[in-house]
Amino acid sequence: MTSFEIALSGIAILIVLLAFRVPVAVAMITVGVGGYVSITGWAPLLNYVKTAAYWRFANYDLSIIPMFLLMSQFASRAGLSSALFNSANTFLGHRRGGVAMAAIGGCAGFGAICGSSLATAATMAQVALPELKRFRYSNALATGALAAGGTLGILIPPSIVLVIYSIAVEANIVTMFQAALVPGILAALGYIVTVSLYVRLNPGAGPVGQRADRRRRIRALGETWPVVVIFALVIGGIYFGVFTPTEGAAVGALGTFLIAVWRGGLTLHGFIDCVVAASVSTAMIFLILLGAEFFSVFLALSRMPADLVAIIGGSGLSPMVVLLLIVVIYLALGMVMDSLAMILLTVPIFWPIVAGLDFGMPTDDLKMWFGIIALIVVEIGLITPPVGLNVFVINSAAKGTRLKETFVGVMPFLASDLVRVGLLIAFPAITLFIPHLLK
Amino acid sequence: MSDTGADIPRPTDPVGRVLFTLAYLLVLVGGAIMSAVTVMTVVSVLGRWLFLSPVYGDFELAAVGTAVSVFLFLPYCHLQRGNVVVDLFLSRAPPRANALLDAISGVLLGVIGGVLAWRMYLGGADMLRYGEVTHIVGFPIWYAFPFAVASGALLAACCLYTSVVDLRKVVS
Repeated sequence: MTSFEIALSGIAILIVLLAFRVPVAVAMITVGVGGYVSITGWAPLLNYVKTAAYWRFANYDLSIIPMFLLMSQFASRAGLSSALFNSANTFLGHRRGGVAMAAIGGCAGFGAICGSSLATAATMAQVALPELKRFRYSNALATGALAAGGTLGILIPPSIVLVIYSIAVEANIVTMFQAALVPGILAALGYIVTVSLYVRLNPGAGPVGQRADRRRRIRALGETWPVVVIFALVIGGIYFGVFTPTEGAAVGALGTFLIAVWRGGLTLHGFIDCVVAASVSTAMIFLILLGAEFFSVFLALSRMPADLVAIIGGSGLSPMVVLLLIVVIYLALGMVMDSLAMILLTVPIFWPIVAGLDFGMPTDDLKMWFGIIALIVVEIGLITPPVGLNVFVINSAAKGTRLKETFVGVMPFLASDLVRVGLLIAFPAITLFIPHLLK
Repeated sequence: MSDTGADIPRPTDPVGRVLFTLAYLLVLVGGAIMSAVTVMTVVSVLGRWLFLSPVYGDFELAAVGTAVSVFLFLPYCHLQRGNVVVDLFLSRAPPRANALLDAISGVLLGVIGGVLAWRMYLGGADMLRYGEVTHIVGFPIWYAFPFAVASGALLAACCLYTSVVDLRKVVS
């Protein structure tokens, strides 16, 4: 077998293992090790694994992951979700569909201090679902808006998947976070527009809520100041180079911890729960990172990505067609796979292909542009059947709503996602504008 | 992702209880190290702003601390079934079939944990013998390896345990 064939068989075995419910990290390590051995023999591998795991984990840039996870945990217990939702509701509630718009606004605000979609969806559901029920919103619109709104947790910086992508393609985390800002805001606006179109077609789905006068609006907005302070401190500090992203994450974790103690009444027991929950997520992510290390070393040894680049380069396909094919593959994979595992699994193959094509922009810009597109497309997987994790989280929180209703309710938001991906592909400036401005 | 905090029930048999307690202790130690790294990083930022003196070698200490705590987190993550799987074809398969597949995955991860423990024991010994230290503060790197080896070994034991539990479900 040539090494190209070994790599292809490795990918085939990986797919079989994944289909048989082998955890993603375990499947990647198994195939990576198997491929490594079949190319170089046992001795180099045994030598490599003496320290490979240590060097993978002992990385300053990666320390950001447990810190952001801690920050998300504390943020969920800081009692900020109701302040965010109420404030958005005083501005939007009197419109038709306004309470659902407010839920999305609350998700966007929460996403600004939380890097995880599931945590954003679950936390906002607790405060928004009872209100949506009170104003007799249809089950489909109520749960669909929240499931889609949850994905803003990852799009709006800080974002854990974006950190993973930056490390996988060796991009600058700071500029990646800058690039995500406008697409993130665009996503929130797109969802709000979607709600307003939805209720125009189904006026019964989203009745009008309460109107609030200006005094109440200002007071409700004032209640959200801890979110504003933390976001300005962490993301502002990272954007303007006051501190490194890891330092920003540490400041954010400590800041949300203090607010959770002060406003959320966090106890020692609650603190330990936060740390343990963050630890389980950290272990899961780092084990996949280790799997990705073995898998990509194997792929690099096989020189398969380079061969693939040559094949695609020689095929005469236009760069845009290749990019659209990658987007389609991501959409398909996203239906069954976790977004983070997907990024780590595919980037060692897809990034060299994209980097080898001429999109008329420098490599650093390409990393940002492709990264944001990939991020959005893999996040769409969180709300598509059959395995949309956000849909499951919201659906289990909404008693009496059938899963099918939630999946139906999420479809208009899915359409808005696809429109946005199209816009970002057609106009790279949307993504690159802020990083260029701040350079 | 497992950050929704859905706990699985704790094991009630003696072996399971011992393994669970050990894994939980490691998580607490790792969590304490991670929290300390976070506080140190903030202190370093404040020190740099206020007194123009960050914590000496903060980047290196954060990296070593992260590595040690991640190793310590691994066994508990497995016991919580925290590792993500792709749920496509088999989500509606009979529970016995899934239990068998989980048992096989457990064996694979157990072998990975065992081999890592064995090789990292030798890797740590090399680090000690050659006196490898971090560049700036000269922190001896081998200090991290006993934690890593212990975690790998406990991970292997936990995997063995969960595989046996899963196999019992298959035959019962």
